[in-house]
Amino acid sequence: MSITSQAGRWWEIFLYQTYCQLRLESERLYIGYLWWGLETVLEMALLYAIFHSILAVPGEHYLSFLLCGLVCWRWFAQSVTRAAPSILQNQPLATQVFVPKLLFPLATLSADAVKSVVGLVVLAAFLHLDGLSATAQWWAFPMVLATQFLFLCAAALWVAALVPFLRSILVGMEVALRFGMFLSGVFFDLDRVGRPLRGWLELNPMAVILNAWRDVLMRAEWPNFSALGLVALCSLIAIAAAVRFVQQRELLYPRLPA
Amino acid sequence: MRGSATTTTRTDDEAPLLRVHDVALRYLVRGRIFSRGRSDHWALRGVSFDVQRGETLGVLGRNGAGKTTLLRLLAGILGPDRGSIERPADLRASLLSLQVGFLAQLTGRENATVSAMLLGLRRAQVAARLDAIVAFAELEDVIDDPIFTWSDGMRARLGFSVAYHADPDLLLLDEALGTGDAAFHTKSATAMRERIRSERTCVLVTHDESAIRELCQRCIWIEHGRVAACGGPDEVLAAYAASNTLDSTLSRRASSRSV
Repeated sequence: MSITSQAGRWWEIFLYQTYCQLRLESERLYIGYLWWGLETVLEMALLYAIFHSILAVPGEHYLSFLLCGLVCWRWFAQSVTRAAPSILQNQPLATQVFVPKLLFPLATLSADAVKSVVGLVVLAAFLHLDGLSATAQWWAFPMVLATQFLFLCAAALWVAALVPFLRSILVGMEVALRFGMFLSGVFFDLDRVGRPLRGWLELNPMAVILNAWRDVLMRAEWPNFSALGLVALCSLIAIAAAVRFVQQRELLYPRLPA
Repeated sequence: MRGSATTTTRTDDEAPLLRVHDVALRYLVRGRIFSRGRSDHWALRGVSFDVQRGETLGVLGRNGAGKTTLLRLLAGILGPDRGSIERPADLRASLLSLQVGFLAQLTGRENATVSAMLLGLRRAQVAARLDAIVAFAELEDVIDDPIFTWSDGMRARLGFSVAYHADPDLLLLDEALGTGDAAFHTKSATAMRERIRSERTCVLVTHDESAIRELCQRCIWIEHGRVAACGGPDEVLAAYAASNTLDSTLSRRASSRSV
């Protein structure tokens, strides 16, 4: 079988695995695909109840500000959390047939990317209701999303590759994601943080990405292209390194204790 | 690590399909990072043999001798720590695994598709063979139901039918000649025997001496991760039986001494 033919076969398996994951999730949840949008609507209602009715937080568009942060963070956190154990969980399959191990986290990440589109549609609808209509800067949004996808791929592939060797990473990852949520600016505006603290916070790629979401969707400003470019470049390098790491150990993974 | 498995692109029809040379493989036994007690289990220790085109090679040995590990090496699932395995680059070798990648919430049709793709077929090939797969398994009425509603026997039938229709160049069998209830077991075992008797190259791991005599042209006996004997089925079976007799005699003597 030629290399192209083999690559074509893995591509077909990847697509079918992604489809199966989406099907499985829609089967598991009672209302299926609707849940993906409903989750964002419920989150929005909860935020409205807490910040508007109970705490009476002042500030225009604060709910939109929070929802932007939460939708962005949830896509990242859920993708990494679900992809992290994927190679380990497929260990029994890996002892029956040869499958490139990266296919497992990649199929999970693709399924989560599809699901996140539903959350984005709900967010767009809420922004519109909140008086934040589309501007020319929204054209930069696909680039922001692409940068985020590259970054979450880099993070998820590395964690998924290392978990079969060191399972404690799964516990550490939960703690890191909880800290990350507070340090990425989900609940505060990075632009209002003074120096030198802001410089330190901007070392976190998710803080840069999340700020770009709000620049584009809420402030009608162009995102910081150079910062996003740097995140994308570093993510690509990390993805290439993760691919190499796993490829060198393809035949070792089935030998690790399941 | 990956070891030194090599892949060749031979076109010489007279050359063996597979050449296994001095292959050794170990499993990593889990150890804590800061403990010194980490030790590895060597499943194979310097195994060498050839598989000729079109032949059926039997593999004999006790439990834990390294037979399944050997099949996984030949299927390209594992790589050796030492030694080499030479094979044509375009060889489609598949370990006959039943219910590969099956997921309970998916329908029989979806499971058959994903399983056949994992066993080496392209999507278009699966589509072309799906009706035959379903018909062989005799599951036409329920194929679009989720398989968690099926019995174990029905799942086993679909699993066997998929594996049978995947039809690789090198068929690697680990005891699974047939499956399912009595009627389907006869049907599947007969089909598999016909497949083995055809021009297909096959490596068969089994404890069934009659199957070895009936189906295999040559046979190897694996003992403690090494090739203890290699040759015609009668010769290797005789050596294997003699070893088993000797072992049981020694074990009886040891237990009578301890009493």
